[in-house]
Amino acid sequence: MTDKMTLIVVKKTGHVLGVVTRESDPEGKLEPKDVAGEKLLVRFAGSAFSAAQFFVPSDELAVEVKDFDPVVVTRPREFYLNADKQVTGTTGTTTITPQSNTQIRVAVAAVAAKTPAWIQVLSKNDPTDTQVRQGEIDVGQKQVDLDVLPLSSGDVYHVFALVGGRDQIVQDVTAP
Amino acid sequence: MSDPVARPVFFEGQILGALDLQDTVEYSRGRDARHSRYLHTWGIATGLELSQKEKEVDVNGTPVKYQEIWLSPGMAIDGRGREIIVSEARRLSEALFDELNVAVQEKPGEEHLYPVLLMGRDRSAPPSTFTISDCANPEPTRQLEDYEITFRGPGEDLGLENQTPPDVSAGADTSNGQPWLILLGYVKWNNTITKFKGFENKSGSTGRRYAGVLADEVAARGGRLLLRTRIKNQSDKPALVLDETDGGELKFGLFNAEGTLVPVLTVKANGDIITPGMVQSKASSGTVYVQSGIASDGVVLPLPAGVKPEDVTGKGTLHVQVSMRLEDLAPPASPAGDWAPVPIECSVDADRRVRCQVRWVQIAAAPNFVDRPGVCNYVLLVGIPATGG
Repeated sequence: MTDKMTLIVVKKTGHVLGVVTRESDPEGKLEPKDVAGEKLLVRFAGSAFSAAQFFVPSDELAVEVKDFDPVVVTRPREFYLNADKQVTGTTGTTTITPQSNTQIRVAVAAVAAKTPAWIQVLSKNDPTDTQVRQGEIDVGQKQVDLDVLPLSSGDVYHVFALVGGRDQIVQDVTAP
Repeated sequence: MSDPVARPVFFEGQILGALDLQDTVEYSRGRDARHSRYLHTWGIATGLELSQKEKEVDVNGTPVKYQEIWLSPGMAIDGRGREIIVSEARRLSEALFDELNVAVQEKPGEEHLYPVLLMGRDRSAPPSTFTISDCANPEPTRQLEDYEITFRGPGEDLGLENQTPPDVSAGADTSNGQPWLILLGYVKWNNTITKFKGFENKSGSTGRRYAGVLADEVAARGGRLLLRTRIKNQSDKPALVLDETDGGELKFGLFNAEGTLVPVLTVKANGDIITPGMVQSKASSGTVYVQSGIASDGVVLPLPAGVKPEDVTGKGTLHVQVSMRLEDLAPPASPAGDWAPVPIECSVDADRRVRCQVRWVQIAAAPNFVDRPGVCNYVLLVGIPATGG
Protein backbone atom coordinates (compact mmCIF):
# COMPACT_ATOMS: atom_id res chain seq x y z
CA MET A 1 0.00 0.00 0.00
CA THR A 2 1.26 3.46 -0.84
CA ASP A 3 2.61 5.67 1.92
CA LYS A 4 1.52 8.84 0.15
CA MET A 5 -1.79 10.61 -0.22
CA THR A 6 -2.80 13.44 -2.50
CA LEU A 7 -4.85 16.18 -0.88
CA ILE A 8 -7.14 18.49 -2.81
CA VAL A 9 -7.04 21.83 -1.05
CA VAL A 10 -8.48 25.29 -1.44
CA LYS A 11 -5.57 27.52 -2.52
CA LYS A 12 -6.73 30.48 -0.48
CA THR A 13 -7.11 28.81 2.92
CA GLY A 14 -5.48 25.36 2.62
CA HIS A 15 -8.64 23.52 3.66
CA VAL A 16 -8.74 19.92 2.46
CA LEU A 17 -11.82 19.15 0.39
CA GLY A 18 -10.90 15.70 -0.87
CA VAL A 19 -8.26 13.02 -0.85
CA VAL A 20 -7.05 10.35 -3.21
CA THR A 21 -4.25 7.82 -3.07
CA ARG A 22 -2.62 6.06 -5.98
CA GLU A 23 -0.82 2.75 -5.75
CA SER A 24 0.77 3.38 -9.12
CA ASP A 25 2.95 6.51 -9.29
CA PRO A 26 1.72 7.79 -5.89
CA GLU A 27 3.81 10.95 -6.04
CA GLY A 28 3.34 11.70 -9.74
CA LYS A 29 2.32 15.21 -10.61
CA LEU A 30 -1.42 15.82 -10.73
CA GLU A 31 -3.26 18.96 -11.66
CA PRO A 32 -6.45 19.91 -9.80
CA LYS A 33 -8.46 19.12 -12.93
CA ASP A 34 -7.14 15.53 -12.88
CA VAL A 35 -8.95 14.83 -9.62
CA ALA A 36 -11.64 17.49 -9.55
CA GLY A 37 -12.70 17.81 -13.15
CA GLU A 38 -13.72 21.36 -14.01
CA LYS A 39 -15.28 21.60 -10.55
CA LEU A 40 -14.94 19.52 -7.40
CA LEU A 41 -18.14 18.20 -5.91
CA VAL A 42 -18.32 18.98 -2.19
CA ARG A 43 -21.36 17.59 -0.45
CA PHE A 44 -21.81 18.85 3.01
CA ALA A 45 -22.49 16.45 5.83
CA GLY A 46 -25.62 16.60 7.89
CA SER A 47 -28.84 14.80 8.46
CA ALA A 48 -30.06 16.21 5.18
CA PHE A 49 -27.21 15.01 3.03
CA SER A 50 -26.95 16.57 -0.41
CA ALA A 51 -29.23 19.39 0.62
CA ALA A 52 -26.26 21.61 -0.05
CA GLN A 53 -23.80 20.45 -2.62
CA PHE A 54 -21.18 22.79 -3.95
CA PHE A 55 -19.07 22.63 -7.07
CA VAL A 56 -15.78 24.36 -6.30
CA PRO A 57 -14.02 25.56 -9.49
CA SER A 58 -10.74 23.75 -10.05
CA ASP A 59 -8.86 27.02 -10.43
CA GLU A 60 -9.61 27.64 -6.76
CA LEU A 61 -7.86 24.37 -5.90
CA ALA A 62 -4.37 22.96 -5.55
CA VAL A 63 -3.11 19.42 -4.99
CA GLU A 64 -0.46 18.47 -2.45
CA VAL A 65 1.16 15.08 -1.90
CA LYS A 66 1.69 14.22 1.76
CA ASP A 67 2.61 11.19 3.83
CA PHE A 68 -0.30 8.82 4.23
CA ASP A 69 -2.35 9.37 7.37
CA PRO A 70 -5.37 7.08 7.86
CA VAL A 71 -7.22 9.68 9.89
CA VAL A 72 -6.82 12.35 7.23
CA VAL A 73 -7.85 9.90 4.52
CA THR A 74 -11.00 8.97 6.41
CA ARG A 75 -12.01 12.47 7.43
CA PRO A 76 -10.20 14.83 5.04
CA ARG A 77 -12.48 17.79 5.57
CA GLU A 78 -11.42 18.10 9.18
CA PHE A 79 -7.93 19.19 8.14
CA TYR A 80 -6.11 22.04 6.43
CA LEU A 81 -2.57 22.84 5.37
CA ASN A 82 -1.02 25.48 7.60
CA ALA A 83 1.44 28.14 6.45
CA ASP A 84 4.22 25.52 6.56
CA LYS A 85 2.10 23.14 4.46
CA GLN A 86 1.74 20.78 7.41
CA VAL A 87 -1.51 18.83 7.65
CA THR A 88 -3.27 20.20 10.72
CA GLY A 89 -6.69 19.65 12.25
CA THR A 90 -9.18 22.50 11.96
CA THR A 91 -10.65 24.00 15.08
CA GLY A 92 -12.96 26.86 15.94
CA THR A 93 -16.25 27.97 14.54
CA THR A 94 -17.21 30.48 11.91
CA THR A 95 -20.41 32.44 11.68
CA ILE A 96 -21.90 33.89 8.55
CA THR A 97 -24.20 36.90 8.56
CA PRO A 98 -25.49 38.79 5.57
CA GLN A 99 -25.00 42.53 6.06
CA SER A 100 -26.91 43.49 2.97
CA ASN A 101 -27.79 41.84 -0.30
CA THR A 102 -24.29 42.69 -1.53
CA GLN A 103 -22.21 41.93 1.52
CA ILE A 104 -21.68 38.87 3.72
CA ARG A 105 -19.86 39.01 7.04
CA VAL A 106 -17.60 36.11 7.99
CA ALA A 107 -16.71 36.13 11.69
CA VAL A 108 -14.49 34.10 14.00
CA ALA A 109 -12.75 34.72 17.33
CA ALA A 110 -10.19 37.53 17.07
CA VAL A 111 -7.21 36.46 14.95
CA ALA A 112 -3.54 36.85 15.88
CA ALA A 113 -2.34 36.93 12.27
CA LYS A 114 -3.86 37.98 8.99
CA THR A 115 -6.23 35.11 8.19
CA PRO A 116 -7.65 34.19 4.79
CA ALA A 117 -11.39 33.82 4.33
CA TRP A 118 -13.13 32.18 1.37
CA ILE A 119 -16.81 31.68 0.67
CA GLN A 120 -18.93 30.13 -2.01
CA VAL A 121 -22.50 31.35 -2.19
CA LEU A 122 -25.10 29.12 -3.80
CA SER A 123 -28.75 29.95 -4.39
CA LYS A 124 -31.06 27.36 -2.90
CA ASN A 125 -33.51 28.04 -5.73
CA ASP A 126 -31.07 28.14 -8.62
CA PRO A 127 -28.01 25.82 -8.43
CA THR A 128 -26.41 27.72 -11.31
CA ASP A 129 -26.45 30.94 -9.28
CA THR A 130 -23.13 30.60 -7.50
CA GLN A 131 -20.21 32.86 -6.72
CA VAL A 132 -16.86 32.59 -4.95
CA ARG A 133 -15.47 35.46 -2.90
CA GLN A 134 -12.42 35.81 -0.72
CA GLY A 135 -10.68 38.23 1.58
CA GLU A 136 -8.63 38.49 4.78
CA ILE A 137 -9.40 39.08 8.41
CA ASP A 138 -6.87 41.60 9.68
CA VAL A 139 -4.75 41.08 12.78
CA GLY A 140 -6.78 41.61 15.94
CA GLN A 141 -10.05 41.64 14.01
CA LYS A 142 -12.89 39.14 14.27
CA GLN A 143 -14.50 39.53 10.92
CA VAL A 144 -14.35 40.51 7.31
CA ASP A 145 -17.20 41.76 5.13
CA LEU A 146 -17.02 40.21 1.68
CA ASP A 147 -18.67 41.94 -1.24
CA VAL A 148 -20.91 39.66 -3.29
CA LEU A 149 -22.90 40.08 -6.44
CA PRO A 150 -26.44 41.19 -5.53
CA LEU A 151 -28.48 38.47 -3.85
CA SER A 152 -32.23 38.32 -4.41
CA SER A 153 -33.90 39.73 -1.33
CA GLY A 154 -35.83 37.10 0.58
CA ASP A 155 -34.14 34.18 -1.16
CA VAL A 156 -32.27 31.53 0.78
CA TYR A 157 -28.61 30.93 -0.03
CA HIS A 158 -26.24 28.21 1.10
CA VAL A 159 -22.92 29.74 2.11
CA PHE A 160 -19.88 27.49 2.29
CA ALA A 161 -17.27 29.31 4.36
CA LEU A 162 -13.62 28.57 4.99
CA VAL A 163 -11.50 30.65 7.32
CA GLY A 164 -7.83 29.75 7.79
CA GLY A 165 -7.52 27.00 10.43
CA ARG A 166 -11.22 27.01 11.33
CA ASP A 167 -13.74 24.21 10.78
CA GLN A 168 -15.47 24.11 7.44
CA ILE A 169 -19.03 25.31 7.65
CA VAL A 170 -22.16 25.58 5.55
CA GLN A 171 -24.83 27.93 6.72
CA ASP A 172 -28.11 28.96 5.14
CA VAL A 173 -28.77 32.70 5.04
CA THR A 174 -31.72 34.70 3.83
CA ALA A 175 -30.78 37.69 1.70
CA PRO A 176 -31.93 40.96 3.33
CA MET B 1 20.30 36.65 -61.52
CA SER B 2 23.68 36.91 -59.83
CA ASP B 3 27.00 36.98 -61.67
CA PRO B 4 29.35 34.00 -61.55
CA VAL B 5 32.17 34.27 -59.07
CA ALA B 6 35.31 35.54 -60.80
CA ARG B 7 38.74 34.45 -59.57
CA PRO B 8 41.64 36.70 -60.63
CA VAL B 9 44.42 35.03 -62.66
CA PHE B 10 47.62 36.61 -63.86
CA PHE B 11 50.14 36.13 -66.64
CA GLU B 12 53.77 37.02 -67.09
CA GLY B 13 54.25 40.59 -68.17
CA GLN B 14 50.75 41.65 -67.17
CA ILE B 15 50.48 45.18 -66.00
CA LEU B 16 48.61 45.06 -62.70
CA GLY B 17 46.16 47.76 -61.87
CA ALA B 18 44.62 48.54 -58.50
CA LEU B 19 41.45 46.70 -59.56
CA ASP B 20 43.38 43.46 -60.12
CA LEU B 21 44.75 43.58 -56.60
CA GLN B 22 41.38 44.62 -55.27
CA ASP B 23 39.70 41.64 -56.96
CA THR B 24 42.23 39.32 -55.35
CA VAL B 25 41.24 40.60 -51.93
CA GLU B 26 37.52 40.56 -52.75
CA TYR B 27 37.66 36.99 -53.98
CA SER B 28 38.85 35.80 -50.56
CA ARG B 29 36.40 38.03 -48.74
CA GLY B 30 33.51 36.72 -50.78
CA ARG B 31 34.52 33.11 -50.22
CA ASP B 32 34.71 33.67 -46.44
CA ALA B 33 31.33 35.40 -46.46
CA ARG B 34 29.67 32.55 -48.37
CA HIS B 35 31.16 30.04 -45.97
CA SER B 36 29.78 31.97 -42.97
CA ARG B 37 26.45 32.47 -44.68
CA TYR B 38 25.75 28.93 -45.81
CA LEU B 39 27.58 26.80 -43.25
CA HIS B 40 26.65 28.90 -40.24
CA THR B 41 23.64 30.76 -38.99
CA TRP B 42 24.06 34.42 -38.19
CA GLY B 43 24.30 35.92 -34.73
CA ILE B 44 26.68 36.61 -31.89
CA ALA B 45 29.80 34.44 -31.97
CA THR B 46 31.38 35.55 -28.71
CA GLY B 47 31.10 38.34 -26.15
CA LEU B 48 29.00 41.41 -27.02
CA GLU B 49 27.29 41.29 -23.66
CA LEU B 50 25.54 44.21 -22.08
CA SER B 51 26.38 45.24 -18.53
CA GLN B 52 25.57 48.23 -16.38
CA LYS B 53 27.24 50.56 -13.92
CA GLU B 54 25.17 52.51 -11.46
CA LYS B 55 25.66 56.28 -11.62
CA GLU B 56 23.98 59.32 -10.18
CA VAL B 57 22.98 62.63 -11.70
CA ASP B 58 21.88 65.77 -9.92
CA VAL B 59 18.40 66.93 -10.92
CA ASN B 60 17.42 70.24 -9.30
CA GLY B 61 19.45 69.39 -6.23
CA THR B 62 18.12 65.84 -5.97
CA PRO B 63 20.39 62.91 -6.80
CA VAL B 64 18.77 60.54 -9.31
CA LYS B 65 20.26 57.14 -10.07
CA TYR B 66 20.74 55.87 -13.60
CA GLN B 67 22.74 53.15 -15.31
CA GLU B 68 25.57 53.42 -17.77
CA ILE B 69 25.16 50.56 -20.21
CA TRP B 70 28.32 48.99 -21.61
CA LEU B 71 28.90 46.59 -24.45
CA SER B 72 31.73 44.10 -24.00
CA PRO B 73 34.17 43.26 -26.81
CA GLY B 74 33.17 40.39 -29.05
CA MET B 75 32.35 39.21 -32.51
CA ALA B 76 29.23 38.50 -34.51
CA ILE B 77 28.53 37.20 -37.99
CA ASP B 78 25.71 38.90 -39.83
CA GLY B 79 23.34 37.35 -42.35
CA ARG B 80 25.58 38.41 -45.23
CA GLY B 81 28.48 36.49 -43.76
CA ARG B 82 30.28 39.59 -42.61
CA GLU B 83 32.32 39.50 -39.43
CA ILE B 84 31.57 42.35 -37.06
CA ILE B 85 34.23 42.85 -34.45
CA VAL B 86 33.90 45.10 -31.43
CA SER B 87 37.49 45.29 -30.27
CA GLU B 88 37.02 47.11 -27.00
CA ALA B 89 34.29 47.77 -24.45
CA ARG B 90 32.02 50.58 -25.48
CA ARG B 91 29.50 52.62 -23.58
CA LEU B 92 26.07 52.94 -25.20
CA SER B 93 25.36 56.52 -26.10
CA GLU B 94 22.45 58.22 -24.38
CA ALA B 95 22.84 61.14 -26.80
CA LEU B 96 22.37 58.82 -29.79
CA PHE B 97 19.32 57.18 -28.16
CA ASP B 98 17.80 60.60 -27.55
CA GLU B 99 18.65 61.79 -31.04
CA LEU B 100 17.01 58.73 -32.66
CA ASN B 101 13.75 59.72 -30.96
CA VAL B 102 12.63 56.11 -30.37
CA ALA B 103 11.38 56.63 -26.82
CA VAL B 104 7.62 56.34 -26.34
CA GLN B 105 5.48 57.74 -23.58
CA GLU B 106 5.24 55.36 -20.61
CA LYS B 107 2.11 55.09 -18.49
CA PRO B 108 2.57 54.63 -14.73
CA GLY B 109 3.82 51.10 -14.05
CA GLU B 110 4.88 50.59 -17.67
CA GLU B 111 8.48 49.97 -18.65
CA HIS B 112 9.34 49.67 -22.32
CA LEU B 113 12.27 47.73 -23.70
CA TYR B 114 14.19 49.29 -26.58
CA PRO B 115 16.20 46.95 -28.84
CA VAL B 116 19.95 47.57 -29.01
CA LEU B 117 21.26 46.61 -32.44
CA LEU B 118 24.68 46.07 -33.94
CA MET B 119 25.53 46.45 -37.62
CA GLY B 120 28.71 46.27 -39.64
CA ARG B 121 29.79 49.46 -41.37
CA ASP B 122 32.84 50.01 -43.56
CA ARG B 123 34.72 53.21 -43.08
CA SER B 124 37.69 54.55 -45.02
CA ALA B 125 40.96 54.87 -43.16
CA PRO B 126 42.80 58.20 -43.43
CA PRO B 127 44.54 58.59 -46.81
CA SER B 128 48.12 57.48 -47.16
CA THR B 129 50.60 60.32 -46.91
CA PHE B 130 52.99 58.60 -49.30
CA THR B 131 52.39 58.85 -53.05
CA ILE B 132 54.61 58.19 -56.04
CA SER B 133 54.30 61.74 -57.22
CA ASP B 134 53.39 64.97 -55.65
CA CYS B 135 50.68 65.44 -58.25
CA ALA B 136 48.67 62.31 -57.30
CA ASN B 137 45.75 62.75 -54.97
CA PRO B 138 46.32 60.83 -51.73
CA GLU B 139 43.62 58.17 -51.30
CA PRO B 140 42.87 55.74 -48.50
CA THR B 141 44.67 52.43 -48.77
CA ARG B 142 42.72 50.68 -46.04
CA GLN B 143 39.04 50.08 -45.44
CA LEU B 144 38.14 49.77 -41.75
CA GLU B 145 35.59 47.04 -41.03
CA ASP B 146 33.88 49.04 -38.35
CA TYR B 147 30.50 48.79 -36.70
CA GLU B 148 27.63 50.93 -35.45
CA ILE B 149 25.26 50.54 -32.56
CA THR B 150 21.72 51.79 -32.93
CA PHE B 151 18.39 51.63 -31.13
CA ARG B 152 14.83 50.97 -32.19
CA GLY B 153 11.40 51.51 -30.68
CA PRO B 154 9.67 48.86 -28.54
CA GLY B 155 8.68 45.84 -30.64
CA GLU B 156 10.73 46.90 -33.65
CA ASP B 157 13.02 43.88 -33.17
CA LEU B 158 10.38 41.42 -34.36
CA GLY B 159 11.32 41.59 -38.05
CA LEU B 160 15.00 40.80 -37.55
CA GLU B 161 14.53 37.14 -38.48
CA ASN B 162 13.16 38.18 -41.86
CA GLN B 163 16.05 40.29 -43.14
CA THR B 164 16.79 39.65 -46.81
CA PRO B 165 19.94 37.64 -47.52
CA PRO B 166 22.11 38.57 -50.52
CA ASP B 167 22.35 36.60 -53.77
CA VAL B 168 24.14 33.30 -53.49
CA SER B 169 27.34 34.48 -55.18
CA ALA B 170 27.47 37.85 -53.45
CA GLY B 171 30.13 38.82 -50.97
CA ALA B 172 29.69 40.39 -47.56
CA ASP B 173 29.22 43.99 -48.64
CA THR B 174 25.95 45.73 -48.08
CA SER B 175 25.25 46.52 -51.69
CA ASN B 176 21.70 47.72 -51.21
CA GLY B 177 22.60 50.07 -48.39
CA GLN B 178 20.46 48.23 -45.88
CA PRO B 179 22.53 47.18 -42.86
CA TRP B 180 22.04 43.73 -41.37
CA LEU B 181 20.96 44.17 -37.76
CA ILE B 182 21.96 41.91 -34.87
CA LEU B 183 20.08 42.14 -31.59
CA LEU B 184 22.33 42.60 -28.55
CA GLY B 185 19.66 43.14 -25.90
CA TYR B 186 17.30 45.82 -24.70
CA VAL B 187 17.67 49.03 -22.74
CA LYS B 188 15.21 50.78 -20.47
CA TRP B 189 15.02 54.54 -20.73
CA ASN B 190 14.34 57.35 -18.28
CA ASN B 191 12.84 60.07 -20.41
CA THR B 192 13.02 62.65 -17.62
CA ILE B 193 16.77 62.62 -17.20
CA THR B 194 17.49 61.14 -20.66
CA LYS B 195 19.57 58.31 -19.21
CA PHE B 196 19.32 54.55 -19.27
CA LYS B 197 17.56 52.80 -16.39
CA GLY B 198 18.94 49.32 -17.07
CA PHE B 199 18.97 46.55 -19.64
CA GLU B 200 17.49 43.12 -20.37
CA ASN B 201 18.75 40.30 -22.56
CA LYS B 202 15.24 39.14 -23.46
CA SER B 203 11.86 40.63 -24.17
CA GLY B 204 9.26 37.90 -23.88
CA SER B 205 10.49 35.05 -26.03
CA THR B 206 12.76 37.28 -28.15
CA GLY B 207 16.36 37.82 -27.21
CA ARG B 208 19.98 37.74 -28.23
CA ARG B 209 20.63 35.49 -31.19
CA TYR B 210 23.82 33.43 -31.30
CA ALA B 211 25.61 32.17 -34.38
CA GLY B 212 25.15 28.50 -35.15
CA VAL B 213 26.17 25.74 -37.49
CA LEU B 214 24.37 24.39 -40.53
CA ALA B 215 25.26 20.76 -40.99
CA ASP B 216 23.59 17.60 -42.10
CA GLU B 217 26.40 15.51 -40.73
CA VAL B 218 28.48 16.04 -37.61
CA ALA B 219 31.31 13.60 -37.00
CA ALA B 220 33.74 13.10 -34.15
CA ARG B 221 37.33 11.97 -34.58
CA GLY B 222 37.91 10.43 -31.14
CA GLY B 223 34.86 8.19 -30.87
CA ARG B 224 32.90 10.57 -28.63
CA LEU B 225 30.51 13.32 -29.68
CA LEU B 226 29.38 15.86 -27.09
CA LEU B 227 26.51 18.31 -27.38
CA ARG B 228 26.13 20.78 -24.54
CA THR B 229 24.28 24.01 -23.81
CA ARG B 230 27.26 26.09 -22.66
CA ILE B 231 30.71 26.89 -24.05
CA LYS B 232 32.38 24.89 -21.28
CA ASN B 233 31.27 21.92 -19.21
CA GLN B 234 29.29 23.73 -16.55
CA SER B 235 27.84 22.30 -13.37
CA ASP B 236 24.09 21.50 -13.49
CA LYS B 237 23.89 22.18 -17.23
CA PRO B 238 22.64 19.44 -19.57
CA ALA B 239 24.57 17.63 -22.26
CA LEU B 240 24.16 14.77 -24.67
CA VAL B 241 26.97 12.33 -25.39
CA LEU B 242 27.23 9.75 -28.14
CA ASP B 243 30.23 7.51 -27.61
CA GLU B 244 31.56 4.07 -28.37
CA THR B 245 31.61 2.70 -24.81
CA ASP B 246 30.36 -0.91 -24.62
CA GLY B 247 29.77 -0.98 -28.34
CA GLY B 248 28.03 2.38 -28.40
CA GLU B 249 25.72 4.35 -26.12
CA LEU B 250 23.78 7.58 -25.96
CA LYS B 251 23.75 9.44 -22.65
CA PHE B 252 21.78 12.46 -21.51
CA GLY B 253 22.42 14.09 -18.16
CA LEU B 254 23.78 17.04 -16.22
CA PHE B 255 27.37 17.95 -15.51
CA ASN B 256 28.45 17.72 -11.90
CA ALA B 257 30.82 20.15 -10.16
CA GLU B 258 33.82 18.22 -11.51
CA GLY B 259 32.59 18.65 -15.06
CA THR B 260 31.66 14.99 -15.43
CA LEU B 261 28.39 14.09 -17.09
CA VAL B 262 26.03 12.29 -14.71
CA PRO B 263 23.61 10.47 -17.01
CA VAL B 264 19.91 10.34 -16.22
CA LEU B 265 19.14 8.47 -19.42
CA THR B 266 21.36 5.94 -21.15
CA VAL B 267 20.53 4.05 -24.30
CA LYS B 268 22.81 1.04 -24.83
CA ALA B 269 23.74 -0.47 -28.16
CA ASN B 270 21.85 -3.65 -27.25
CA GLY B 271 18.63 -1.61 -26.88
CA ASP B 272 18.58 -1.35 -23.10
CA ILE B 273 17.28 1.96 -21.76
CA ILE B 274 18.48 2.86 -18.30
CA THR B 275 17.04 5.70 -16.27
CA PRO B 276 16.68 6.36 -12.55
CA GLY B 277 13.60 8.44 -13.39
CA MET B 278 10.21 7.48 -14.68
CA VAL B 279 9.36 6.68 -18.27
CA GLN B 280 6.06 8.16 -19.38
CA SER B 281 4.61 7.54 -22.75
CA LYS B 282 1.39 7.75 -24.65
CA ALA B 283 -0.89 4.84 -23.86
CA SER B 284 0.06 2.02 -26.18
CA SER B 285 -2.37 -0.27 -27.94
CA GLY B 286 -3.17 -3.72 -26.60
CA THR B 287 -2.35 -2.72 -23.04
CA VAL B 288 -4.29 -2.61 -19.80
CA TYR B 289 -3.35 0.18 -17.40
CA VAL B 290 -4.24 -0.10 -13.73
CA GLN B 291 -4.64 2.41 -10.95
CA SER B 292 -5.96 1.74 -7.47
CA GLY B 293 -6.14 3.41 -4.10
CA ILE B 294 -8.50 5.37 -1.92
CA ALA B 295 -10.73 8.29 -2.92
CA SER B 296 -13.13 10.49 -1.01
CA ASP B 297 -16.61 11.60 -1.99
CA GLY B 298 -16.69 14.11 -4.85
CA VAL B 299 -13.22 13.32 -6.23
CA VAL B 300 -12.67 12.37 -9.86
CA LEU B 301 -10.70 9.12 -9.95
CA PRO B 302 -7.21 9.72 -11.35
CA LEU B 303 -6.26 7.82 -14.49
CA PRO B 304 -3.19 5.57 -14.53
CA ALA B 305 0.09 7.22 -15.49
CA GLY B 306 0.38 7.56 -19.25
CA VAL B 307 -3.36 7.46 -19.89
CA LYS B 308 -5.04 10.65 -21.00
CA PRO B 309 -8.77 11.41 -20.74
CA GLU B 310 -9.02 11.26 -24.54
CA ASP B 311 -7.72 7.67 -24.41
CA VAL B 312 -10.71 6.73 -22.28
CA THR B 313 -13.30 8.66 -24.25
CA GLY B 314 -11.86 7.30 -27.49
CA LYS B 315 -11.16 3.64 -28.06
CA GLY B 316 -10.28 2.78 -24.48
CA THR B 317 -12.49 0.86 -22.11
CA LEU B 318 -12.81 1.91 -18.49
CA HIS B 319 -13.48 -0.61 -15.72
CA VAL B 320 -14.02 0.69 -12.20
CA GLN B 321 -14.65 -1.15 -8.96
CA VAL B 322 -15.37 0.79 -5.78
CA SER B 323 -16.21 -0.37 -2.30
CA MET B 324 -16.93 1.58 0.85
CA ARG B 325 -13.85 1.89 3.02
CA LEU B 326 -14.84 1.14 6.59
CA GLU B 327 -11.41 1.12 8.18
CA ASP B 328 -10.63 3.99 10.50
CA LEU B 329 -14.17 5.39 10.35
CA ALA B 330 -14.99 7.67 13.24
CA PRO B 331 -18.58 8.08 14.43
CA PRO B 332 -20.13 11.50 15.00
CA ALA B 333 -18.80 13.15 18.13
CA SER B 334 -22.21 14.19 19.32
CA PRO B 335 -24.62 13.20 20.58
CA ALA B 336 -22.67 10.64 22.55
CA GLY B 337 -23.68 7.05 22.16
CA ASP B 338 -23.17 4.00 20.05
CA TRP B 339 -23.30 4.51 16.30
CA ALA B 340 -23.31 2.04 13.45
CA PRO B 341 -22.20 2.93 9.91
CA VAL B 342 -24.42 1.97 7.00
CA PRO B 343 -23.22 2.50 3.45
CA ILE B 344 -25.95 4.27 1.51
CA GLU B 345 -24.10 5.24 -1.63
CA CYS B 346 -20.87 4.06 -3.21
CA SER B 347 -20.58 4.51 -6.95
CA VAL B 348 -18.74 6.32 -9.75
CA ASP B 349 -20.56 8.44 -12.29
CA ALA B 350 -19.82 8.86 -15.99
CA ASP B 351 -17.24 11.52 -15.19
CA ARG B 352 -15.34 9.08 -12.92
CA ARG B 353 -16.55 11.13 -9.96
CA VAL B 354 -16.91 9.21 -6.71
CA ARG B 355 -20.23 9.39 -4.93
CA CYS B 356 -19.81 7.82 -1.56
CA GLN B 357 -21.73 8.45 1.63
CA VAL B 358 -22.20 6.68 4.88
CA ARG B 359 -25.15 6.94 7.24
CA TRP B 360 -24.38 6.80 10.92
CA VAL B 361 -27.34 5.37 12.81
CA GLN B 362 -27.50 5.80 16.55
CA ILE B 363 -28.23 2.51 18.28
CA ALA B 364 -30.70 2.32 21.13
CA ALA B 365 -32.07 5.75 20.53
CA ALA B 366 -35.05 7.30 18.91
CA PRO B 367 -34.57 7.22 15.11
CA ASN B 368 -31.51 9.34 14.72
CA PHE B 369 -28.96 9.36 11.98
CA VAL B 370 -26.27 11.52 10.48
CA ASP B 371 -25.05 11.27 6.90
CA ARG B 372 -21.39 11.87 6.19
CA PRO B 373 -19.28 11.91 3.05
CA GLY B 374 -17.51 8.59 2.76
CA VAL B 375 -14.29 7.21 1.43
CA CYS B 376 -13.97 4.28 -0.95
CA ASN B 377 -11.33 1.85 -2.12
CA TYR B 378 -11.12 1.81 -5.90
CA VAL B 379 -9.60 -0.20 -8.70
CA LEU B 380 -9.58 1.38 -12.13
CA LEU B 381 -8.53 -0.40 -15.30
CA VAL B 382 -8.17 1.19 -18.71
CA GLY B 383 -7.97 -1.17 -21.65
CA ILE B 384 -6.51 0.24 -24.86
CA PRO B 385 -7.48 -2.13 -27.70
CA ALA B 386 -4.78 -3.43 -30.01
CA THR B 387 -4.61 -1.60 -33.32
CA GLY B 388 -6.98 -3.26 -35.72
CA GLY B 389 -8.21 -5.54 -32.96
